[in-house]
Amino acid sequence: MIQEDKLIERAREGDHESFCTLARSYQRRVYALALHYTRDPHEAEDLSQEVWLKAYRAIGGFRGEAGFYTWLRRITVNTFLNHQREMKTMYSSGKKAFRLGELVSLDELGLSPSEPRHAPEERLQQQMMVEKVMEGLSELPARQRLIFLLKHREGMTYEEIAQACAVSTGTVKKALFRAVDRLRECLGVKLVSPDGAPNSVLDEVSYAARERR
Amino acid sequence: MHDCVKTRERLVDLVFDELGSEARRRALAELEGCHDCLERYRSMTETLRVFDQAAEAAMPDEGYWPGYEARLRERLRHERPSWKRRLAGWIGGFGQLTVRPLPLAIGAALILLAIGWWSWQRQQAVMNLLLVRNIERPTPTPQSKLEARDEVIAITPAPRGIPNRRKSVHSNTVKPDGGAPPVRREERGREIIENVVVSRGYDQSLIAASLFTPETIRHFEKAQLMLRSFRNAAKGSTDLAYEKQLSQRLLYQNILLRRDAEMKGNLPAEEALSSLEPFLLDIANLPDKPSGNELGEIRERLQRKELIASLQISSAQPSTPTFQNP
Repeated sequence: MIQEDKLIERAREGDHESFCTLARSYQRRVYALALHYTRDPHEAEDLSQEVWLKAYRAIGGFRGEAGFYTWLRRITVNTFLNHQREMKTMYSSGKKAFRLGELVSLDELGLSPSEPRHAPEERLQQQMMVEKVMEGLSELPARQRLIFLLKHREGMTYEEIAQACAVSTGTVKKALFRAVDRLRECLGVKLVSPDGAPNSVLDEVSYAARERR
Repeated sequence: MHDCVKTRERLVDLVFDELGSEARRRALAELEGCHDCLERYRSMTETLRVFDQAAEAAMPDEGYWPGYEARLRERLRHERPSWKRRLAGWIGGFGQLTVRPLPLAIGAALILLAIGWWSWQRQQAVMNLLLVRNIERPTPTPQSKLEARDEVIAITPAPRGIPNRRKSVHSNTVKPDGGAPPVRREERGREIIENVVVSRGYDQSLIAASLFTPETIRHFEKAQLMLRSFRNAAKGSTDLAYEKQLSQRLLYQNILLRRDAEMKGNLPAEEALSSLEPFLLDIANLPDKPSGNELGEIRERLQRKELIASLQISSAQPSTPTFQNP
């Protein structure tokens, strides 16, 4: 933490390298949030880097009253909400399908290592699962999706989310309930039997993965 | 008694771990008693578990990040530092400026407004005079000129208790055949000032202060005193050496001030000085022993043009009592 404080201090003074080092600590987290929010790897990269650019411009005003990540998350949420508004004006329909090809294209672009992490069969299963989850996320309205991600991925409280998204805590709870319900329907998740046997097509994938572990 | 609706409302809190330990224990115990609610709870937690698994799988491999960092570094390199940071760097000592643009902008706007208001107040009187002058200008015939003057007087009524001297002046200047005498340039300057002061009830000192420079006001005071001294000299007295000498000095200064007013486009000052100049010239050029006729003629013109009164108005000081309603 002392190291981070020093980096922040240097970044505030305009040290470019210190800011990059600082970004390295949180870039995965910001990217993951952007990826689930946009459901598109390219757009996720653009959006997450936009967050970093905004943070770089604003770091002079960071006074350390809250943690660095809390401050960064505020920028992230605002950037996402702005992005949502821009998208609304650009497209009448905000829905977007996540395609398997998009993950494959990462290899083509040299964004992924040439060696896959898992066996091809398992990789395909994972990609199917990812596609299904991304489709499920696409079904959610943008604000509901953001609320779900802030709660489930970021572990923010109802009050924090309500404040960040300028809604009431009741709205946050309703959005969460609907988001999980919608995802559950999209993923075809039903009751998992006591022995853990699969009950849906998707469960077969997750069940197989659990079995391997 | 178990209520499925209420239990399901609390499922979100349970799934997202928003309940305290005791509330959580009670909620789980209640779920054990209802198969449907338990099933729903399990399906929700399972959904989140599958989501987490997919979220992890969707993340790019480790090899992706060096490229990501390089691209971010490149974008940051092209990013210009903020003006605050550049200013801080330029100043040097101020590492952390806490200047906030919005309050700064509001402060600057307020200062500009105050300056604008002050200069507007100063210019207001001049604008009024120009307005009166512009209304007077399009007077092709003597009759219409008279009507235009009456119109000016009509829109600028005199304060209660103060006689409308302008009206009487105009009615006196109308020739018996219906034509008005030609109004000279220097007369207009005096009339304009008087008209505004008398008819609008403005504070004389403020008008004077806003129209004339302190130097011009002092000049008017001196000229006024000299002209009074000239007028009040005994009818038979021809010893006007002091007035002549003073008039020569004032004439020189008057020319300078008039040129200055001309250059600055200060019409009221220019016209007031122009109306004074012929008198200064006449008095300065009087022979050593002027005849009574010569003096009488100058005095008569002085009287007719009410120049001393006009100068008194022009040189009014802030302490000078202004028009008061009875």
